[in-house]
Amino acid sequence: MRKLGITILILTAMARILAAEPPTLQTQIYHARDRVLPALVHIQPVITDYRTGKTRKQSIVGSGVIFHKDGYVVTNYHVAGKAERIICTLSDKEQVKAELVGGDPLTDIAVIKLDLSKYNGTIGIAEFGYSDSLQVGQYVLAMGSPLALARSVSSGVISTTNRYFPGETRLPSGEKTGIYNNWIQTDAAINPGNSGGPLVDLDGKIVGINSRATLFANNIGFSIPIDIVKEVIHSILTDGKVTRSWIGVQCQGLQDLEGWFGTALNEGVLIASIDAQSPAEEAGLRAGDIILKVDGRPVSARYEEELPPFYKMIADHAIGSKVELAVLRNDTNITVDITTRPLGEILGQDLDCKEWGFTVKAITKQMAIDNQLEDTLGVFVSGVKPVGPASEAGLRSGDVIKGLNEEPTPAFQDFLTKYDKLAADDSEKVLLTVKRFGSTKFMLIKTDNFKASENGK
Amino acid sequence: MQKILIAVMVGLFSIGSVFAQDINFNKIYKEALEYTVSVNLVVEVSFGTQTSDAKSRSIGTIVSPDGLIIFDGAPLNNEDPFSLMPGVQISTEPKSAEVVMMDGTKFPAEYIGLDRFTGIAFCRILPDKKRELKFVTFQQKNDFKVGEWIALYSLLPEYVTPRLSADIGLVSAIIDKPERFVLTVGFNEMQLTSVLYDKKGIPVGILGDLQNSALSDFDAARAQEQISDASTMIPLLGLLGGDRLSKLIQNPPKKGKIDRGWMGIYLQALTPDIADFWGVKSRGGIIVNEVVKDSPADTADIKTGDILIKLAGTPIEVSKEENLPIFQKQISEMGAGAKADFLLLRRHDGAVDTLERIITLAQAPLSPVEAKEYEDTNFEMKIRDMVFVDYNAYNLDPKIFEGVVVKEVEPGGWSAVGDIIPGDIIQSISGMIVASVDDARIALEQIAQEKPEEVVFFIWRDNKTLFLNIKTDWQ
Repeated sequence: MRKLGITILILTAMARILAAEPPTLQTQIYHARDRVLPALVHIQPVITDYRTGKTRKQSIVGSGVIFHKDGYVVTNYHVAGKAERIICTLSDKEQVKAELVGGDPLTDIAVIKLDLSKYNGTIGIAEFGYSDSLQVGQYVLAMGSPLALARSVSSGVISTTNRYFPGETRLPSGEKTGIYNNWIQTDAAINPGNSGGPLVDLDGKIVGINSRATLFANNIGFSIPIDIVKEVIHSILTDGKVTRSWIGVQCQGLQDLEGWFGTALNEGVLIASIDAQSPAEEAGLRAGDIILKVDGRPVSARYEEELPPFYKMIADHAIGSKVELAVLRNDTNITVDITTRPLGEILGQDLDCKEWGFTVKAITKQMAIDNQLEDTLGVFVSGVKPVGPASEAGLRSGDVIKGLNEEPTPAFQDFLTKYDKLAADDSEKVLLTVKRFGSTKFMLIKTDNFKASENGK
Repeated sequence: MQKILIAVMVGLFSIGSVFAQDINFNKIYKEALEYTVSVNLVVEVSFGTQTSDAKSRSIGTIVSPDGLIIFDGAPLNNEDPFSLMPGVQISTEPKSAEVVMMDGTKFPAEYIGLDRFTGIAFCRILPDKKRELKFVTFQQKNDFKVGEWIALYSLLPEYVTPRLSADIGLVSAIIDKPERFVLTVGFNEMQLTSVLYDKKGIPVGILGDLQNSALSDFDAARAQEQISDASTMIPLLGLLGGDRLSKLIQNPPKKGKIDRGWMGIYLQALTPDIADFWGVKSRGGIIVNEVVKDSPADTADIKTGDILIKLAGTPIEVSKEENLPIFQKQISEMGAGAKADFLLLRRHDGAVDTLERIITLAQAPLSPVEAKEYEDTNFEMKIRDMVFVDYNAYNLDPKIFEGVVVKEVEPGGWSAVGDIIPGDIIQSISGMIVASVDDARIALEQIAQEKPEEVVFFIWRDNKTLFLNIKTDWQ
């Protein structure tokens, strides 16, 4: 009897399952929407732009998503990474302030924290999924504030899971980005303002952070894979930033070069270029060397899509740690030990030389490499006001100032100290020693004319 | 009484001045028909990987019995300011040149070169022996005064007969700085290099541009500045006199073969502001910004920060950046081997010493346009030797860095498909190091014999190196 009862129960349950309709695409989209939309944030940061030769504040719009009950929001570095103040609008249209926790230009990720002290509602919290199991053709939703239109949802599929951009990709502020990751490409509409918003699968899990789109194209948008984002968030929450190791090699795909270098298919990573004064150069690595193993683990990059993971593997080493490379050089196997150094900042600190009408940046190692400068000495002119003492003297963006009044200013701090002093003394004339295109020029800054005109005399 | 007065006045005028009507245009026209030609060029223009052919037609003048012709080099004069930007280049050598005489006879012409100081280009025709060529002879000296008439014949479009049209201008100023120049009004840039005639109908020179004649080809950064400054772009048209022209005609510029003096310094003008700031009493001079190592200036103990104030006892009155090329030209024209005797100021610890230094000028380094070239028809690319400005602009050490610069690649050719772009520096081909176009030619010829399916190029681009696998398709 009891057995019969159980059998009936099982049969009834089975009948119910069989009778229930499978979830439709529509119900799945509703489900995904309900899990993420409450956590969606419309972000309005105020950032400072130095490129016009003066500090210029700018209010921009981006998107973000809450991932932690304490009000942590993930967004793009190019949205909030340099924000001075941030105002956020939550999904219930209430506004709260937020502050920057940290950012990473190289992956274009930033974390901000909402100030919920005066907020009476309940915030939504979205969950992260995984990006390594994504499939081409899989349905996804993009959520955010396209063209500042908050709480917008668009849909599409994953167009490709592993998009690589050859050459250099830079953020609007000039930092290099995307070296350590490939991108998820989607046809879910992504427009300016969507930046920092989530790309969501039909389970309602975040699989990417939308960060860029192709202008003048129809729905070719790109997201940063969530697996990378999770690692970056972890570093930011732990240390406030991401630290990476640097050895100074530029690699390229080995495809069609295997015959020339005598390697098997899917074996080794080709070093194309060595950065000057890098650990790789000091360890004697050369262009044309093939890295076969890193710390005993075989590596390969036949296709360029395999380069970002390789770079990431090197960067993930602890700073100052020893990396053992098994290298093939001219058919000979050698072992090269390299001690990594910190990658350091990509762009240097900014300074607005207001009295003289230009802005400068400290020169980082990476800037020297990118701008083909002979060293990191001096300061880099990032902008010149169109009308002002510096533009009159002939200064231009991209110039490097090596000295003031013929005293060298090798470090940013030297320049800053001298500038502050000369500006405080109200010096009417200052002689800049400027390096441009490999040659030196003297330029005389005369502030008196401009003071008179500014005072309306 | 009144009639006498009028008669006296008419008499005075006819003695004291020549009216435009009095210039014998008929006589000039007949002469001009003999030695005036139209020079038709096909020039290749390239921006990045995009290239296209452009046609140009300008007035030319036969200046010697053996068929030497001068014409406006404007269509060919555009490369230098951009030569530091890889990928943006305008070819400086015509793909073809043809000369059409005023009677319609056509001759193929051989392009010779361009004088970068005056913007005058040279070509030569080799007519059949039966035809005796008439040529112009310029009067060497002139003593123009402001207000005098000056005439020319300029070229009319091809579909019009006759093909020459008279024009008259006025001497508007005799400029004496930065150099003596008879300035005119009434002419336009389309008439550049037309022969100018004085009131008696004697050819005295050609229509030139003061700015152009002063534009140095060497300091590319400077040239860029000049381009960005619109005020220096207003043409100052006037007479390029017979004395200057005859020097050029006797020694026309040659590609890859030049005689230009060079000191090996980076320089800037001593402006009154900077002179005042340094407490230097001089009406102008040359600030030495940098001395190229082992250059003539280095050997002669010239130091960074020195101010050159006299050359051969004559003050160097360069007080504006715009006047700098005049000094550069002066040094350049002295030629290699000449001794430049300078008086200079050297500042130290608040004091200023006056010193004398003699620099023995060396041959100026070649500019990118003058560098030796090689065109490979298999890989469909044009390469050139590396020159001084390449090393300088990219902070490369000529002692350790070797390569050849890619000048052009043919779209769709092996090189272009293999991602070689203009501005790349090829360092090795199939493992063979290429330090010159000669090396590259030998390597490419060897490859052409072996006909491999793939050729690996090692390239320097944007301060980084990379390997490119070029896939071939030998016939």
